[in-house]
Amino acid sequence: MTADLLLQVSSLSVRQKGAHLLREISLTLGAGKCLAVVGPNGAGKTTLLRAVAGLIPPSSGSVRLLGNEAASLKPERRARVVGLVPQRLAHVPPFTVREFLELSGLERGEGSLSLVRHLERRLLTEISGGELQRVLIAGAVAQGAALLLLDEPTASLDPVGRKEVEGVLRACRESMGLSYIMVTHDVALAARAADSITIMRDGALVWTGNPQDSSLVSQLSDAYGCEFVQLAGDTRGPGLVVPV
Amino acid sequence: MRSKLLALLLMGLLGAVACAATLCGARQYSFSEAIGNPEASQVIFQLRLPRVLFGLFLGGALAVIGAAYQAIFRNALASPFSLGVSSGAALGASLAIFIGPGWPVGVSASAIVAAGVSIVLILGLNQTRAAASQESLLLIGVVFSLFCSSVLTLIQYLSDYSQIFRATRWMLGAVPPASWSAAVVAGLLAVGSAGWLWRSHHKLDLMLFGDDFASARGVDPEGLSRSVFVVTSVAVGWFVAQCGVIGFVGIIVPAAVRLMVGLHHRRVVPLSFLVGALLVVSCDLMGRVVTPPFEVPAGVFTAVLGGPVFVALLLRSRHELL
Repeated sequence: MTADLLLQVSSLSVRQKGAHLLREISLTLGAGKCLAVVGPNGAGKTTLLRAVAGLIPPSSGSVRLLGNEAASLKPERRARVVGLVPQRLAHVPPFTVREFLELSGLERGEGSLSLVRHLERRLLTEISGGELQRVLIAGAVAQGAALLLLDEPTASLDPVGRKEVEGVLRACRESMGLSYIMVTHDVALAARAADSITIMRDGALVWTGNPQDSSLVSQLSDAYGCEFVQLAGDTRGPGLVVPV
Repeated sequence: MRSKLLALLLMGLLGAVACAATLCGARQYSFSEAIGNPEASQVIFQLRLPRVLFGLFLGGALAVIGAAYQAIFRNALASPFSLGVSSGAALGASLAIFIGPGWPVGVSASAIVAAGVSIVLILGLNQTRAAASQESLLLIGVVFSLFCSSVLTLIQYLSDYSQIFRATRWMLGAVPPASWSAAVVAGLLAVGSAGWLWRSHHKLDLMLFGDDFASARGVDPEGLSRSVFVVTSVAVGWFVAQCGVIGFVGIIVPAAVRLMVGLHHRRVVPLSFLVGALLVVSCDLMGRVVTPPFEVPAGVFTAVLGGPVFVALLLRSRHELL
């Protein structure tokens, strides 16, 4: 029933120190599909990614990966299904990019090297923020993950870095058939890159739909508490959704 | 290829220094005397060889344990010495020597337990801070080390002169005149720790990026850290009980090795073992030949060398050490 689903989250709740971080979250994701998660700070977006990645145990509910209960999977096996791409690393040691990919398991995801061929001899400590994001995504691909969990991949990047990351994500999807869940505040990126968008607030999913849905703008306005407008689209995709 | 050549070179050097350390001392012997002269054979095979082997395993163990601490804490300055674990073990051993009956097994057990308690205490204190960090961990380690040293000083002050003399020499960190049984235990602890850490090299590499990242790559950071602390507490506690605190080996050796061969622990662990062994056996040899028949503890040389060498490595390095 669920074997064709890459991810199935059912009634997932996470409580820590009496606080409800996630409330009754349910969502599914098929192979090759991309979901963007948006919402104000503290909505629980990153917690959701961490729970799916197995870094936080659920208080109730379940996370199933390829039909298997995520909690029952050994960490090594789980890492072959989901690859977390953090917003930033706790520490960036001076490995070369090539070494980093080898550590991630280059033999399983050879396509990852094509994403960073021009950087492979450079040290992680010497590349730009956009390049580091590119390398982190390539690392998740190298570990053989079918589902990438991207935590604000374009945060604190300049326009060139954002364009670079968007290009990498497109390549992952088009040439490798990977799925991803992307947490972002960049609604325009979410609208361009994802098949569906979900809005979170106070630890719960409040709305899920496709980027062309006419109610997206009003739902974003409700969630963020400020007015959003949709600019006219063109042949490259839906119109830009921006706060005013 | 480069690391294999380096390993061969280090093994050759270690063999040569170990031979020299076996033949040299208050009295020098030649190879022919070592084999043909019964008195020389007795000195060499019953006294010096076990001591050299003990020093070799001691240096190797201290270096690989330092490398593991640095990976777990993501800090090039982390080691049982700098985090106060060695001082905690020394306090445990001292309490057993000066207050308890002073049985060797009891002293070792007390040092091992104290090393474990020290780690738990230092990590626990750091966790209670709202903003726990690697820097605060090192600060807590330094303060804990100073506290243990103060209590040790108090214990010495309350002891008689002969105990003070013994305690002072022991605390300077000297490779002891070891028996074969001590050398065998040292070998088991050192090779066992190094072998286990080498098998965990991939996990240690991933730990350099942070607990969350390692966890997302299939590592259990808490389980790995716990195992490292248990294994190293036993090794550090036992070695401190035998020969006091020999500082800096666990800091300067892995730092130098990383500069030579990079960060991968599949190379860092075995090469640190060889360099650490070479350093301690060399320092012990120096201590025995500079002022014969008196001996300068190896810990004096590692302390005198340690600080300047580490600063030199830091200044010469083009990149971060870790």
